[in-house]
Amino acid sequence: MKWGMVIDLKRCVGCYGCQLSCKAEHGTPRGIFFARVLKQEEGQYPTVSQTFLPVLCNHCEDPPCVEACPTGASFIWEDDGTVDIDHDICVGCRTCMLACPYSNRYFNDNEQAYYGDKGQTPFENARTTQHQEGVVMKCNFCRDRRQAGKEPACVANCPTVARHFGDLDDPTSNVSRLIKERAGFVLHPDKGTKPNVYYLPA
Amino acid sequence: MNEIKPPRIVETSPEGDEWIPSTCNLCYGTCSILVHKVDGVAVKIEGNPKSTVGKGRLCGKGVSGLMTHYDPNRVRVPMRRTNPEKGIGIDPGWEEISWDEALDEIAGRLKKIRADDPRKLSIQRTTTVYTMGLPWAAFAPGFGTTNVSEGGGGLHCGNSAHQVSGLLHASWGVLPDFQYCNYTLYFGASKGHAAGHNSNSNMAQAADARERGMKMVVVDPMCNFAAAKANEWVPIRVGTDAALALAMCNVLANELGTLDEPYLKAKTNGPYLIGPDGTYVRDVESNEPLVWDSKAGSAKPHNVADSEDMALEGEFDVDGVICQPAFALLKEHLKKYSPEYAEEITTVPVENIRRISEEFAREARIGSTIVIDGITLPYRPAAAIAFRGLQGHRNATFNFLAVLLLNQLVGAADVVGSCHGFNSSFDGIPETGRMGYKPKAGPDGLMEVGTWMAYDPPYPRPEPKKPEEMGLQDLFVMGMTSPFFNSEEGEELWEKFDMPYRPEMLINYGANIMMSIANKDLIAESLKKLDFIASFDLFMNETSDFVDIILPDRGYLGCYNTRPNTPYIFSHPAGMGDWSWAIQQPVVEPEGEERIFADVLIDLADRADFLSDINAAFNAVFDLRGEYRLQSDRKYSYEEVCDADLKNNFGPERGLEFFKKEGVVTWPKTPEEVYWRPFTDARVPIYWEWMPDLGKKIQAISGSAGLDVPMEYYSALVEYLPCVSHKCDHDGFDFYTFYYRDTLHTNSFTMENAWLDEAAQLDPYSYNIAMNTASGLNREIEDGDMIWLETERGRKVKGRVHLTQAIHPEGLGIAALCGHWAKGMPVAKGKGIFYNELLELDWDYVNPVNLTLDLCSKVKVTRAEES
Amino acid sequence: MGETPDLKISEDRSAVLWYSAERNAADKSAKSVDPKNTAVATISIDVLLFGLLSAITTESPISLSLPDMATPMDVVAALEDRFGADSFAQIKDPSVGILPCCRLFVDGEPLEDPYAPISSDGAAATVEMIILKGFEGG
Repeated sequence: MKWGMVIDLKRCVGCYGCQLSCKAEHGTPRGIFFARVLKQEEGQYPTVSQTFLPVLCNHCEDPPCVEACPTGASFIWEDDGTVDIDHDICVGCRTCMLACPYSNRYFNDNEQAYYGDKGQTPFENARTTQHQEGVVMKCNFCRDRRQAGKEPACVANCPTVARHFGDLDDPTSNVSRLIKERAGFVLHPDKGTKPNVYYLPA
Repeated sequence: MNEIKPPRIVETSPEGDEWIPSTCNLCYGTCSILVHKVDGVAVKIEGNPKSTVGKGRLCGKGVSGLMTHYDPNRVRVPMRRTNPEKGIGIDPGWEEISWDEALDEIAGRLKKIRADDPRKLSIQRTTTVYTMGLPWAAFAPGFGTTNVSEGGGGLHCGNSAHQVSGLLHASWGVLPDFQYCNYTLYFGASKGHAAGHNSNSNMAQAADARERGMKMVVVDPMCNFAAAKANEWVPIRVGTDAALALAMCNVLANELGTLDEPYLKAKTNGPYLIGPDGTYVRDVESNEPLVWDSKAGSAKPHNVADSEDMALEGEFDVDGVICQPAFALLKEHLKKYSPEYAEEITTVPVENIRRISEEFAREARIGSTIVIDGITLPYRPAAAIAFRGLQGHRNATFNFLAVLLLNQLVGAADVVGSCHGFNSSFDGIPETGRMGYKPKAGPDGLMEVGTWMAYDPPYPRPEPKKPEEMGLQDLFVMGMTSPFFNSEEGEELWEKFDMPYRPEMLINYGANIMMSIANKDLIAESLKKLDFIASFDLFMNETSDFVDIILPDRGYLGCYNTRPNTPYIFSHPAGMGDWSWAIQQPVVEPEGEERIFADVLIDLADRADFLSDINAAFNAVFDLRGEYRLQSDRKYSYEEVCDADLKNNFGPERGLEFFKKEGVVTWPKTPEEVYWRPFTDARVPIYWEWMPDLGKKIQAISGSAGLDVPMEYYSALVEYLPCVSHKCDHDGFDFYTFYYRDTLHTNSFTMENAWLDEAAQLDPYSYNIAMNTASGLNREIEDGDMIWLETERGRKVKGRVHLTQAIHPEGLGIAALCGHWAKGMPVAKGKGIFYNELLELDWDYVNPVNLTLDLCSKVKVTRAEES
Repeated sequence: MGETPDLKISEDRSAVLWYSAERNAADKSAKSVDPKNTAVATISIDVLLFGLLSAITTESPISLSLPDMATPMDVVAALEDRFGADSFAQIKDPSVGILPCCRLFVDGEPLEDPYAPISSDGAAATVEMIILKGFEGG
């Protein structure tokens, strides 16, 4: 079994639902977005196009971050292929962040409260404090939600239904089928990382 | 493989773990939500998959609601000013007071005003929580004031969109029928692209349509949101959309001849005979407008002749009066809008205008039918729609009408695949049949809406009167909202009209009118003149500088609302599918002393001795019947009122307790509800016969007060009329500014939400001025530069440039209403651009028909110092 | 401009659907019943005015005696006679009679048509009147 995600760029409208539902799910501190939306402009006026590109950890099959990690904190779950970080082992050296060609890893050294000296909100107290400080953080395909039988937050919430989640090892799964039928592609294939997050063309 | 600890986010104590259904209100889209609470703390908001409103999914704003709820900058206790001096940035010297003190003072003033002249109380509400307005809809009429306004009637109101959508589609706005539409033309709209009415459901429907292959052509000065997802972006000079739409109408009517004549005969006033004076030729006996019956070879009343036999063209003699069908006049009139003329005005090339017109005409498939759920219906899978962008100009009314006329010509109105007035027809709640409505024929056979947001429908309009309403809507009767409600400009007009009273007190509910209308200095002057302002707020904002007593509101997660999605013309998914009826309920306890505003209003009515009036108003507003009618002298909690409303509609088993648990009730729509146009005998006006006469009547009143109404805006035939900005030809003033709704922000409110603010800071557009790359480089302006924008009249605003290929070379695009300066909103403070600072607030800048404020300006750009 | 493309249709199958809801002229009879011609008896009507209308008089209820087929228009006419036409100017309109923003309830049931009889059986009735106005925007 290998979890993978397919993001349909034809459906995405750049509403930031993924970026913010991820933040709402995990209560990450300021500056840390496991999911983000990038806006890319191509062409010249008046033949110009705007692409909304949602990004997150690609859960690569050959993840340079895992290879670079000196402590073994970054690892691949053998049973589902997702890339994760054991925060008890992570020493916060940030080598993995330099190794990730997608810039989807974050170091948790910001203030743990959005409203500064006014302190943590009850929400932050319940959610943000669960995160360890001084470690590297990233998307883990919502491991907790998956264990509860739910899809990752960004997938379940996407208002345009642009995100799909499933088993890439199963050729009949929704994600395998979409990649095949709609010519799914990955970001920076040249890096040889074999991402498990695919995109469908706009 | 590593051993890793079990979930790092622990859901503690299952007994303290609950999901409570309610409704989002980060914008007026009102999607159904579930709020996850763990041990009394709300930890997550998700969409409610049981509801069709949002379909279990939320936009970035919706999922961020807890940051607003728990914001430590929220006002949590009633406050009273100690400094009598009011002004921008002058510290009111707030002191905490008790609710009793606050309400006694407010009630005392209410009592005095009510005994004197209740119209001296004005009420201002924010559009953000528009659907939470029912308690206000009872409080204001119960008190006896008609002076109620939405956010000052400024930038964010779709005045003309509602008016013209109401006249032509019996709805608050229009949409393409995403499920069946194959070709859609957008003019200044982002429906389906994360903003506005019914935002989330539209996003999914629009994405389905794209995947299905619907072609989308977007006319817009900027290629963002809708245009980014379009098959074709048509860049247009700011504010000139009507010239383009009318040229396209001309191509359809006079070059291609692609017209749905049976539709025009049966469903419009196109066959009505117009005499030399421009008005209907009427039947002597019945006074109904006449049509020419081609079969009989004589004139007959429209309600006597068969539509099939009605002439659309020709010249006829009716008892010596030479007349022509209205359609013939329209067709002739359109000839002046040649594509060549339109190119000059709009910068859209002639060949594109003709090509897009042809595509639209072809895709409309005039004459075709389709079977939906066993019912044969007209099939017109083409739709031209518009919204706020196009109508935020002086020519607001005609701009909107010009676009909707495209649909009328090809019969693409409220049938399968066409332009929709969404949810204009509703059969009612299945168990009780209550709340049902249908569009119907009114005076002159023209359509009346089946339902509206209040009992003030777009047709028929009342006769104009010497104004006694603060916003002058009783004189400018086509208007729904007015920028003159709270402004120094209003004062000048009131003087001219010899208004019999002046506003003395304002109760504000969440609106920040210092930012939401236009020229803030004029607003400030008018606010200073009021004796007293009480304001329900979440934050101390720019308007708070003028407030006497601030009342802390519980916000959308702490209130009751039995009707967040009804009437369905406002923010409920269109097309086939389900009806959902959801409620809003308190899901979190107040963090301080915040109270439910509806209960505060009832409390005020009690203290100011008009309890029986507010109860009568609740009975009328909710149409409570029988045992559910409120008794005259009893003081109810709003919870009890809500229970009565729900039982009154859904029966005794399904009151508030049922809905608090279930959250939402859902049942299927029928094709007759969704595709209602063939089933109504109502006609819609493509020739606005009443306008010239109305204009004269208004001028007769306003002219004598020294306010001249330009009659070209009251033409029976739709026109392109330029904005003030189009007439500015001074050297150096070479950019048109325009405002657009950002996906991350609602009005001026969400910039204080720390997550949304952070996302907006990362977005290349949200807090910057979008300028065409070539236009910038020609002026040696680089990406990231700080610039000043200055209007001809010297109004200025500063902001950072983002150079982009995705904007018309003459346009400057600015998102939302940012640029806060109040220290009570520290997250929002100083972020983005305060667009309204550029806008004038005077008669020359409003649409003389419905008082929509022009939001474009012509500016000079100069480099600014970094600050 | 190039050659005009032929976009004309060959068969119009939808025309019959557009014509199907044709208004039946027989349905459109005069709404107004002139009480002067038909009424013989009178009924008692108690009028309760709320909100802005309540400022007109402190009298509550206002007791009226009107012909038994009296309509809301007749009630307003009777009120105008007593309290002056100015007080009711804002709810009246030449084209529709009483503007829809003025809500009327007869014994708790809404009455939409200003030309419909208030009491069909000659029984006494209570009429509540309130002006609902002031929603806008969005």
